[in-house]
Amino acid sequence: MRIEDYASPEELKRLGTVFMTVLVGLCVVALFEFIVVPSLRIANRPPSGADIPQQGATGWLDPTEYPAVRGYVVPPVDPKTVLTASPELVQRGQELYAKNCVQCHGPDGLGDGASALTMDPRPRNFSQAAGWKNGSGLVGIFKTLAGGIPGGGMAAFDFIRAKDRMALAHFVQSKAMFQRPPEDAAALAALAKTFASAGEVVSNKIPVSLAMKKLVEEYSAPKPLVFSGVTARVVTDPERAAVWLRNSTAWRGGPKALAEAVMAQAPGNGFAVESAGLSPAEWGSLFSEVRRTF
Amino acid sequence: MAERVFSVLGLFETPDALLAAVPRLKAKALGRLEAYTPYPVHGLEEAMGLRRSPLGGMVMVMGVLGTLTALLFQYWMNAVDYPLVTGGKDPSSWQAFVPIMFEVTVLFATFTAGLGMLLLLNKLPAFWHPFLDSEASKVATRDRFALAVEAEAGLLDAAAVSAALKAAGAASVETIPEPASARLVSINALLGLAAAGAAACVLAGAFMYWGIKLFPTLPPMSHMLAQPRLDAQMPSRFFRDSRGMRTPAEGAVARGGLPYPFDKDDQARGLANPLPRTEEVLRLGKKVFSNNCLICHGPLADGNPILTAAYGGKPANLQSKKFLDYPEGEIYHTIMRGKNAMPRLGDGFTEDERWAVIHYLRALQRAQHAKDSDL
Repeated sequence: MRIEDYASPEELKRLGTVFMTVLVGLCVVALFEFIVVPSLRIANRPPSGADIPQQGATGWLDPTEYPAVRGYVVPPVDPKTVLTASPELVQRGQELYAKNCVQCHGPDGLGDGASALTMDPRPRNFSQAAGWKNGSGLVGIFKTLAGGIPGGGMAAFDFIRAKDRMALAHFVQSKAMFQRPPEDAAALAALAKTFASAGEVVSNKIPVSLAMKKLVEEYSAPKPLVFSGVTARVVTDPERAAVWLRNSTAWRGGPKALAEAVMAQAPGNGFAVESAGLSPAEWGSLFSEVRRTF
Repeated sequence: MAERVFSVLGLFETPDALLAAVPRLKAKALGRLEAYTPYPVHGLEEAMGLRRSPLGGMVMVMGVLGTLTALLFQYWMNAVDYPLVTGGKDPSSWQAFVPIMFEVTVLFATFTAGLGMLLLLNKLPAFWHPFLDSEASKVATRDRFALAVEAEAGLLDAAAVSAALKAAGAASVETIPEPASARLVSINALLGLAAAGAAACVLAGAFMYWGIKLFPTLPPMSHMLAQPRLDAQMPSRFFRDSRGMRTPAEGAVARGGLPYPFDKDDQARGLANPLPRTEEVLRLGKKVFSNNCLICHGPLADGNPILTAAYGGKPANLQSKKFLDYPEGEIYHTIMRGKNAMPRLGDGFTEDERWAVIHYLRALQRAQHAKDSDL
């Protein structure tokens, strides 16, 4: 059983050629795969420790990495241009209304916007006289726009300039289908005075990463909790409990307030859930213990 | 030129006659001895002086090699290349490898035993063998016992061998000539076979490629999305209220957590942030904000997001004065219970993530209302 029995010399030559071609091909592939490509990759690798630019890190396309801008003061508004309704003001108010208010108050100001269904209390219906927490007068609407309704659904729109807010107020008033009470002349005069006297301040702006850095720098860790008596038993995470005790004001009223505040957030605040079983006397001693540190 | 003789065959009537003849032929040393019997004849190996088969050792070596291969394979894959913790065990825990090690041991051992015996030791298949053309082969597979004296280095004294076989008791003697050509298949046929194999591979590959391209959703290769499984928000045909998402039993509480007790935001005003304002916390907050809040409140929390342009929604501007001095407890409450059109989102986050995102919101507010000293 020798190879010569199977193939003539010419055939062996051809077979050898085929084998050699395949072998050389494999060698070339292996050369590139294991030597050329890896060495090119190593040669082109950025030096370790170098700052590799990444999207966002250098500010491109990352909306939180804008350049820092110093704040400024918007010049005061001439009260005469905003205190009485004009077609231009109402027109401007309508534009702003479509952008900021339609979602809740609805296209016709009936309090039937797309989001209104889920809201409690429901958004104000501008056509009706009922409601109006700050009154339906110009001054009241302006106040609502500036500060929102605390505890209610109405957000503050102080990021809209005062002049534009007045335009909005005029537009809102134009939707009324009731006899509006006469404007409070004194309040209107006071509003005119504030318009004329002071401009609006636009805040400084810094990139968010810098703000994060500043906040971290300004932060100082609270004093560690001293373990003794009840504290050692109910505190599961001393660091967390210390931060919480310093940030919280709710517990400072006394042992009862402490018990309520601790149980409202346990175990997220570092206190054990089991502290619910403490007696009033134990809460008292816990209060005096933490009071000593914070 | 006289025909070259491959071997001379003697046929014996009984195994005993064969066994008696072997040592006598062996003593004459005329050529290589080979016996053909219809069944294994006891004592023939000893009489022929055959060596002990090395198959046992080969199987042993390959079996151990199989064990080691499986061990190294699994160790490299599970502990080095892609460390994967399953069942809380160390990625390199060998106990889990034992079944595969056993399997691969058996695989290597059986293949070595089967193929090693046939191909290596017995040199089978050997269809070219001249014995298959002989008259003796017709009876040596039934009820006769053949003893062949094969030529060594092409030299065989046929007459002397015939005489010796007859003297040893052979019933008949047959001379088998050397075959004119030992070739069974030509090299062209082999190359053709290889080409046909390659063509079959290419054809099968092309068939699968275009099959999947043209009929991508033919069962069982349907879309991965289409699975007989109940996804979130899908109706169930099993439960009477046809809700796929079941609410937990009343009073069920997650391990290590207490239910959020407040319904009104002024009740939550007293809640305080238990997280320190460190870089890691702010980074966690940024991640949570970017993944969950940004789509509505915008990257700077100014209520100016992508959604506004697309759907006309107006989420709260968290940079307005109302929210700058908003108590953190109320922000927490808003996350937990929602507000106006904002849904309650708290269940999707851990306690830490909720408080961390509040820290990050303060950083966003600081960025938009920076102190003069920050510039």
